[in-house]
Amino acid sequence: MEINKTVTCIICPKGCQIDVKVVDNEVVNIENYGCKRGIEYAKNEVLDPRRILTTTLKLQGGRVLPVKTKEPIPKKLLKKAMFELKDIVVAQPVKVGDVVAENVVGTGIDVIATGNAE
Amino acid sequence: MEDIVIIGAGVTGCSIARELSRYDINITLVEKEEDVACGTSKANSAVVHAGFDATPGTWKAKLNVAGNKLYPALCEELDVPFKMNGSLVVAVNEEEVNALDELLKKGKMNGVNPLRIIGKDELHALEPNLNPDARAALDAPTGGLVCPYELTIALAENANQNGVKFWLNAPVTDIEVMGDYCFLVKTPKGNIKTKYVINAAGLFADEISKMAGAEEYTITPRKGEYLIFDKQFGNMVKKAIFPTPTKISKGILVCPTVDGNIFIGPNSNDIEDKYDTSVNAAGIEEIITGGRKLVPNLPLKNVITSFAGLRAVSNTNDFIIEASKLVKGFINVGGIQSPGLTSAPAIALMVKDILQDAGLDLKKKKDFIPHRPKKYRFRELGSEERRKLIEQNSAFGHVICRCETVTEAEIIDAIRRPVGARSIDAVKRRTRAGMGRCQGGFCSPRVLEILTKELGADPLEITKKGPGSNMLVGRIKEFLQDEGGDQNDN
Amino acid sequence: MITKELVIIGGGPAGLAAAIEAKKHGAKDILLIERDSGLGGILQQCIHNGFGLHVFKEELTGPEYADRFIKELEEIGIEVLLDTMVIDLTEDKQIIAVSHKKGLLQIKADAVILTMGCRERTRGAINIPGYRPAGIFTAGTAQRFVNIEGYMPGKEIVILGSGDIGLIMARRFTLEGAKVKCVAEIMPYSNGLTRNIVQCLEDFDIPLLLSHTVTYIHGRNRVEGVTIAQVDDKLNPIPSTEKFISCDTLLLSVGLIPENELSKMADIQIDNVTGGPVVNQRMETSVPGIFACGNVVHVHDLVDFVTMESRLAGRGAVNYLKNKMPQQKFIKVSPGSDIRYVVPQLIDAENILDEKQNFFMRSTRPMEKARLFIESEDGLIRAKVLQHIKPSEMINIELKKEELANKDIKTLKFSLQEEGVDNGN
Repeated sequence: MEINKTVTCIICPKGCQIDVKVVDNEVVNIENYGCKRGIEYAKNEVLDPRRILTTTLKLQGGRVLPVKTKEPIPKKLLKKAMFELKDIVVAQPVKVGDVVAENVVGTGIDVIATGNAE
Repeated sequence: MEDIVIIGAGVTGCSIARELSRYDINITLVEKEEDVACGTSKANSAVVHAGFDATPGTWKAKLNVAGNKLYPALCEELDVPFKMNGSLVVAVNEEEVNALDELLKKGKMNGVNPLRIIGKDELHALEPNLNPDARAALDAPTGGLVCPYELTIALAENANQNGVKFWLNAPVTDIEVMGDYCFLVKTPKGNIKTKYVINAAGLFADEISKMAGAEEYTITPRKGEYLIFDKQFGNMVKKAIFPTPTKISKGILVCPTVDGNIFIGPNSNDIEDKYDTSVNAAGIEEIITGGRKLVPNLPLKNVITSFAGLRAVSNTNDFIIEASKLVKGFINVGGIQSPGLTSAPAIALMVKDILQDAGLDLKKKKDFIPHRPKKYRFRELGSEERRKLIEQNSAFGHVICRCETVTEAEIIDAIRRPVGARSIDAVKRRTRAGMGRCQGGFCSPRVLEILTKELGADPLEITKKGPGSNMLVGRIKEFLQDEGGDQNDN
Repeated sequence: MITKELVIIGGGPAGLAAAIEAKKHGAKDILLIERDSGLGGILQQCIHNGFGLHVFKEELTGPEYADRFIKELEEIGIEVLLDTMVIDLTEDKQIIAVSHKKGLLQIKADAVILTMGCRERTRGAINIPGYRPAGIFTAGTAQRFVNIEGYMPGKEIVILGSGDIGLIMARRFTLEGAKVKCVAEIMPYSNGLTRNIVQCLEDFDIPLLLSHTVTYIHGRNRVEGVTIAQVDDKLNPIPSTEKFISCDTLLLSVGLIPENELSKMADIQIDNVTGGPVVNQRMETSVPGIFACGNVVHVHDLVDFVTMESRLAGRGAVNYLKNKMPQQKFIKVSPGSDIRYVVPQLIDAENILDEKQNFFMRSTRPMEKARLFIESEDGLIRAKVLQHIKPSEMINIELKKEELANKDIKTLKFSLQEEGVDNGN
C-alpha cells in the first residue's frame, strides 16, 4: 500500500512542507525538507505520530485537576483517551507527578497530575 | 386588587412608581425583561438636557425644563451620581452660527436660563480639543450628565422599599377591560386585577395601548449607535459637545459620561424591528465621521465597546401623556424619546396629577422612605474609608473587577438589594464590574461564581441578561461520546 | 506603614522569577503580592505543554512550570501575600493594597518590581458589528472557565484571531467534544506558533481561514452565528465573500495588552508601541527603583523569555538597592525599518549587569530571510542574517558589553532589510 503525505515541520519556525512517501509502512522517499532534523520529524509524523495529551480531571470536593500523559500517546488515540478519562474523579491530596490513571487506552502510558491539590 | 399596574420598568415607569410610592396605594410594576432599565433607558446619551432644543409649547419642551430642575435634588436624595457639567452646541460655519441664534431664541422661550452664545476664543479655551474650525457655541450650563440605568435602578429600589411590587420577566400578554376602572392585566407569571393601568412600555407602548382598546398611535424604533472610549481619555472634553442640530435629531455628540468615560454617538436611523439593537459597520463609520467633526483627534484605538439603543418615537412626534378617553383608568405615557430621560421626574408628577384628576384618592404615607439603602462605591473612597469598610466587612477587601475596582461586597450587595441583580449584566449595571477596559474578561467568571452562591443556583443557570442568554453550556467532558474506533486519524 | 526592601507586584512567572533571583543575589526583605488565591498567574490555566524548553531543557505544562518556581520560592523563603490587590502605587514607592484577610495595607518599599502581566484585547477594541449576546469570550476567559472552573462556555465555536491562546483553546474544546468550526485570521499569515497551527488545528482538521474576519455577530440572547468575510489588502471586508456560520460561541484571540494601570499611577513613562514601561538595561522604568518585567513590559511569545527577563529585573533591583546611584548616561535604543519595537529602550552601557546585553524585538511583517542591522550614530555595530521571521515570534539578540561600552555612543538602532526570497529548500 502506498501513501503520500505532506507534513508541516515544527522543528523550527520555517515550517517546511515535507513530502513523505510510504510504501507498506516504510518511508521510501522524503522531499522538500530543510534540514536533517526535519527528516526524522517527518518520518515519525507519518509512521507513528504521537502527542502528549493534556486535560483536566474532576477533583473530589473541588474543581478540576490538570493532568497529562507521561509520554506521548498515538495521536489517533487522543479522543479515545479523553473518553476513557471522562468519569475519573481524583481524590485529594494529589501533587505534581502523581499517577492518577494507569495505562491509558492500553498504551502502557500513565496519566499524571500536573498540578497540586490539597 | 391593585390600585395601579405600571407596565414597563424603564426610567419613565420607575419614576412614576417611585413618585406614587409616596402614597398609600397598592402598586405593581410589570416588566417583560429580567431587570429594570433594559430598553431605551439602558442605551442613550445619558445627558440631562438643558431644554433649548425642543419646540416651544410641546410637552417635550415643558417637561424637559421642568425635569432638568428636579434632577439635582432627586439624584441627591437617591444617591445617584449627577454632574451639571453644561452643554455646548458648536457651530463650524456661518450658516450654523445663524442657527445658534435661532436655538438661543427657542431656549429662552422654553425658559432655559442661563443660556448664551460664546465666541471662538472662549470656546477653545473651554474645550481645547475641539475642531479648530469651531467658531461659536451655545453655552447651556444647566445641561448635565447622569447614568440612566443607575438612576432607573435607584428609582426602582426606592419604590420597592416603599412597597411597589416588581414583576420581572413578566411580559403583558393581554389586558382585559372588565369595566370602568377595572382591568385584568395578564402575564405568564399570573394575572393582576387593577383599577388603573399606566402604560409606560416604551417601544411597545403602542401595542399595549391597542391591547386595552385605548387610543391608537404608533411607536417607531429609531436606532442610535455609540462608541465608548477608555477612561484614560476621559478629559478630552468636559462638556457635552453637540453639533448644530438638524430637524430629526440633536446630532452626533462627543460627550463625557458621569463615570468618566467619553462616548461618541448617536446616529439616527428609523428601523422596523423593536428588538434590533445591533451595531452596524456603516453606523460606526457614521458616528466616527460625526464625532471627528467636533473633536478631530478621537482616540479610536481605545474604544472599549460599542452599543446601540432604540428611541421610542411616536407618530405625534411629542410625548403622549394622557388619560385615555376611550378606556377609563388607562393612562398612556408613550412616545417618550429624547428628552425623556431628563423629563422623567416631571412626567411622574404629571401622571400623579392625571390620576388625581381621574379621581384616585392619594393620601401620603407616613412612613415613606426617601433614600435608598446606602450604596458603597469602593473605587471612589479614600484610604481611611476603605480601611474602615474592610474592617466592617472583609468582602470589601476582595477586589473582583480590576478595571473598575469593584469589590466582592459590592457585588453581593447588588444581588441582595431591593430589585436585586440576577444576571451578569444586571450586576454590571449596578456595580460597573465588567464595564472597564477588559470588558469582563477577568471578572465575569468570578461574578458568575458569586451569583451562583448568592442565588443558590447552578453555574449553568446563570445568564448574561436573562432567559436564553446562559453563560455556560455544560460541564467539561459532558459532550464526549464514545465514537468507537480511532479518531482524528489524518 | 509597613516597610520593605523590595516589593514585587504580581505572582505570575515574571514575579516568581524576579523574586527568586533578587533573593539569591542578596535582597533580604522581599514581599510578593498576588491578587489571585494562588501563585503562578496565567500559567495555572495553561494546562497544555510546551513550556520550559529554554529554561529547563524539557517540555512542561504551565502548572508544572509554575510549580518549579513556587517550590523554589517556598524553599528560599519569600514572604507572599495572596488574595491581595494593589490599588495604588506612587512615584516614591508607596503602595496601597487591600485583602479580605489583612484589610488595607500601606507599604513603603525601597525598590519595586512590576509584574502585573497583560490582559486580552476585547471585542470593543476591534469593534465587531452585530448584537451583544452571551457567548462572546476572549480565549483566556474561556480557558479559565474550562481549565480552572471545569465548565464549557460553548459547544459550537468560531475563533477570531490565530493568537496562540486561541489555537490552544481550539484543541482543548475539540478534545472536550465541542466542535470548532474555523479559526479566522484577518492577516494573510498566522499569529500563532507553527507548532500550534499543526498540533492544535491541523491535527483536528480545523480550517484556518487567513485574510478573513468576523463582520457580524448574530443572536440577541446567545450567539447564534457569525458572518465572516475575506478581507482585501487594506484589511477591509469584501462584502461579496460574506458567509454565515452558525455557532453558539465566538472566541476572540486578537492580541494582548500590557496591564499598566499601576505604572501610570506612578507616572512611569510608557512606550506607545509596546504598551509597557520604557525600561533600561536592568529593567528599570523611568522612575528610579521601580522595575518591570514580563508581559507588563511587552507581550512575550514564550514564558521562558519572561523568566530570563525577570531574572535580569531581579538582579537589577538588587543592583539598585546596593548602590542607589541613578543611571544617567543612556544610549537610546530605537526600532528602525521593519522592526516594531526593541526592549530595553535605554542602555547605560557602562552598567550592563553581565558581559552581554539581551535585546528583544519584533518584526512588523513575516520575512523568509532578512539582515538585521544594529547601528549607532557612528555606524554599523553588527549585522546578522535571520531566517523565517514572523511578527508572532520574538527576535532575540545579544550584544557584548564591549560592543557598546566606552564608545560614547548615544543611539542604537535595530533595523531589518529583507533579502531576496530564498528559492532553494
